[in-house]
Amino acid sequence: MHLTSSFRLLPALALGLLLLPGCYSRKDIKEEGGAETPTEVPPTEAPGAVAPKETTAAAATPAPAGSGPLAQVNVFLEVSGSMEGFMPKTGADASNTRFQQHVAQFLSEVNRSSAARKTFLRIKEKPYRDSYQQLSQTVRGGIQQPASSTDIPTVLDTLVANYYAPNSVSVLISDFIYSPKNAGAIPYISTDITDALNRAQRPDLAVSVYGYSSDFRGTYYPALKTAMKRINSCCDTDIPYYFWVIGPADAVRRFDTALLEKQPAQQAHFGVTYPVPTSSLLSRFQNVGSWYYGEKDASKRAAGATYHTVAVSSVSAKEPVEFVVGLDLKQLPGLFRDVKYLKPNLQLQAQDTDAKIIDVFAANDQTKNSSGAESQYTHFVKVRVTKLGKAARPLQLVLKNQRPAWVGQWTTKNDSNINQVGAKTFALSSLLDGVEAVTTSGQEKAPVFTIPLTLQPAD
Amino acid sequence: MKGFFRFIYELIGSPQPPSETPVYREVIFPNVGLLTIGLSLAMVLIFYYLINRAMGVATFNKVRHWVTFLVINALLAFIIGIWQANSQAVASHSYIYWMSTWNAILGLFWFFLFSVILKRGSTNASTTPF
Amino acid sequence: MAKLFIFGIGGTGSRVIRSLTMLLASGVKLANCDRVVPIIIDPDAHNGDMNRTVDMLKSYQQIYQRLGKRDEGFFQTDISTLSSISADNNGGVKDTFVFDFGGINQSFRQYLSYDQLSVDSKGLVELLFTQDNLESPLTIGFRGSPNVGSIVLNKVVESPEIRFFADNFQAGDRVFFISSIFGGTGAAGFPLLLKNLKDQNTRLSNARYLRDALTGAVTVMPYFALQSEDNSIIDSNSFLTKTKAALSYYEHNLQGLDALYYLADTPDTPYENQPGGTAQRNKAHLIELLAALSVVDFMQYSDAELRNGGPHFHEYGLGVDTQELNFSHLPDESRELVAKNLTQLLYFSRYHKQHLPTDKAPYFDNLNLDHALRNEPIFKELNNFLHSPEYGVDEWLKELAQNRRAFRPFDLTTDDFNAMIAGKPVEKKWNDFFNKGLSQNYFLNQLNDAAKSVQEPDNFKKLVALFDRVTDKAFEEKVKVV
Repeated sequence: MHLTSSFRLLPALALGLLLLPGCYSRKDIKEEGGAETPTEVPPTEAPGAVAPKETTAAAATPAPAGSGPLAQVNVFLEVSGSMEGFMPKTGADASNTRFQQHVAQFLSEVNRSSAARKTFLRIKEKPYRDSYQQLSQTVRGGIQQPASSTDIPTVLDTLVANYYAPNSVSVLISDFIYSPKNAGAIPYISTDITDALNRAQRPDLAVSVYGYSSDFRGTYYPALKTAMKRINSCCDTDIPYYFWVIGPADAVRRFDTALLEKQPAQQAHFGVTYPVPTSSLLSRFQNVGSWYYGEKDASKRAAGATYHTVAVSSVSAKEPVEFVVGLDLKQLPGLFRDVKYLKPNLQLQAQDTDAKIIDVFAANDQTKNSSGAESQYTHFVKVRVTKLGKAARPLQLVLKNQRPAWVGQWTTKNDSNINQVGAKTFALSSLLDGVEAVTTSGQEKAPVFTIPLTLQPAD
Repeated sequence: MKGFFRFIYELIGSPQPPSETPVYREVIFPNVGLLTIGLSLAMVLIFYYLINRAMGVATFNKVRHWVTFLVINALLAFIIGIWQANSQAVASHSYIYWMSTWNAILGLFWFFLFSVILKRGSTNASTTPF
Repeated sequence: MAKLFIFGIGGTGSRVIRSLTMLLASGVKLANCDRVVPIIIDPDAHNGDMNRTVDMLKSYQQIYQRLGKRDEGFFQTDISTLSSISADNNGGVKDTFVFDFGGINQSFRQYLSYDQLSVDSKGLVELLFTQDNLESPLTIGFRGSPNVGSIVLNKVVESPEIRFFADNFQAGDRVFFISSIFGGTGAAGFPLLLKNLKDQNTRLSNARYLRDALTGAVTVMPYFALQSEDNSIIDSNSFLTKTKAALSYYEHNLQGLDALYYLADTPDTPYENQPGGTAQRNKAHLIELLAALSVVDFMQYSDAELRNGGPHFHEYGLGVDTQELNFSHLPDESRELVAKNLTQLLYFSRYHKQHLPTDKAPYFDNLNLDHALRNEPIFKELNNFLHSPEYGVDEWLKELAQNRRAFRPFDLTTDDFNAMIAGKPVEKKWNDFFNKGLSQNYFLNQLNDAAKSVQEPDNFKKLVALFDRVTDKAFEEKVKVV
């Protein structure tokens, strides 16, 4: 009897212990929320925006197929007379051009690449099959038997019609000096290119253009032959040459990433689609004012979770809200990672709000070394809001695919006095206009990416 | 449930800094709220049913003893607030202390409420505090 | 139902009735009757022993009336005045426990009308009575003179009280006499009353019932001495002589008695010699308690047992001859009869005095004691019964302990309930931190607990019921045996 009194404590203690686990943890919330995983808010177009382009949608879908090595890479090297200056026969001084070094190295890289099949072709009036050794030798040793001038539309037509295959790309290496038959044909350059590329009706055709320049020792054949037909012993200036990567959008992107990203070059991309980069709002990075993640599961703070909803509890002109969106642009071509490109071309599409981008900047050592979520992002976009609508409104961060400035700078209307004009190509922008027309089905070019955000008043 | 706790904890204003709002609303408020209610209930049960009934202690039933428990309860409630906020690694802010202070006050309230409800079942403290 | 009429004769009668009342208050059960009617016969209207006994009886009566009839617990036995046993009272009998002598404030000489007597009669009177006897006023009793008492008390039989008693006597009722053999009133009164009640030729009604009624008596033989004073009327040195004379008379003249209890002790410390009046207020003595137990014992016998082979004679022997007795010195039968009940009463009284007024506890609030203790008369009455310095339980226990021989079952000086029973401390287990034995906490906890389970709207009844239950539990759980 006497002993029992101390045991009377036990039920009360047990009760106390039972009470303890009755608390919430993030895990609980996860389960409560019906195992919601942080999902991207489906891309919602602003009501005013145009309907999604078919090309974008079509190109986006085959993405899963595009893992692993490419099925085939075809490298086409133009060997017409105009190219001789890039690949002069080995002289006594044994000097070579930057073109030779670059292209030889590129061919080697292609040959070593993981693509299942690599083919190397010379372009004369039509493509001729070479081995890697043969083509490499051509580059190094100079063109032995220069072909007559090659017609660019024909070459493009051939490539698109005969060498276009899923998971395959064709790389065309050329100076892309397109000589129309007469002066009257000049306005139709872009149309010619469009027609050539469009003949085979490839829906997901994409073209990446990489521009390089090299010293040039030989005869320069200007496109415009009004002044003179040739310039012997050219040139005092560097002459541009280009790699055009042609193929299905996904294959082109992967080839770009694998082989061409490492090289410093001017870039322009047409019809290439990119996966939407990882992005997230950063609630603890340079944030200002009263706002928080509007996602239901924001409290979980799961590792790697991303957030795209800004819930603003109070905002005014005096107390603006500023939030930073972190972007991971590692998967994009260098062109689109360039802050100089991003600043003018990143745009915010919004309604009922004055939200605007006030800064775009790249990661620095501080952000990279931070323990916060900002360490995972390469670029940051800071947005300021001082007023917003009464309900949730979509907010889209769009990177426009703007033709880079270098294209204009590298274009000349008259290359007959190339030494004075400098390293420019005749009607380059017209050529690219033609490419663009094919890869852009509608009125507007598809954006590089669209990051949907939601801006809403706090509940 | 969450809405209820959010309501009572936001009576003193929104969580600060604002970026921690979701964590407070979804995790800390419910946690702190449940823990505090549980704590208060446990303290009331200990006072009324363990000490003043099961253990047969009859001289620990004065108002001052009850007040002692009430104060301990409030202190623990305050600690719960700090502890939960820190365990969720929210950005440090004086709000944590305001929230914890508010929780201590809520602890007083819960303790009082449970006391009124449960005191009848006690043998020796059924008339404490009144 | 059956009644027990107790004639308490003289100072001894009052004192034994006092002890009996204490036993009844403690919950000792009186078998075979449901009502006790004490009748104190003492011409000394100012006798201190009698007066405090009467006060206590009144107090008991009030408490009982509030509590009502119950089967167990404190104050379970009804104690009534003679007049209250029947509504058929034409006012001749006062509502009191004391026989009314109607103010005999004369001297014995005047009472006898000595001066009008013939010379022969005067001679006889002078032969039988001393000059002191004749001159002494009767208001202070017979002062140890049975020869005086027997004359005066003979008149009692013709009093309205005795007629009322006889009128309301029913079959099954019992009669018990308490008297001392060595005093004045008792020694003379007991055989006289007995003779008159059992008289074949009595003029009293219900004579047959009276004759057939089971009748017991306790006769207390000398157990104290008085300080010798040269000019005192009462001389304790004559006690034994008187006793011898009385016993030889009893031997042949106690007709109709079914049981007779003899009690005696060797005197030790002499009492202060007070022949009567308010100053005759003797400390309660063990002998009186044992005499009261003879009443209990008498009632425990069934009718058949008493009628078979009577009269029965009883004597009492202590287990040990010691000057300070506690429960362990009592014979088993007595101990079983009183130990638990007296312990309960002690706990009740001690807790009631020491802790109850300051308890801030649920039972206290539940009973509304804060108000009741201050305002309700019955609570004051209980307080009197327990703590009155005149007749209270505390005083009674104290007197028992201080007398010679001393009955000290309890250590009355301690506040520790665990140590209250002399020679039998409550065991506390060293390894049980929470078992403090009989602490205030224990009682408080039990009271609070009982207050929740006892359903009784009347707060006084409930209070007594709580203490019944709690002290009973305390004894059973913690004391177990003495």
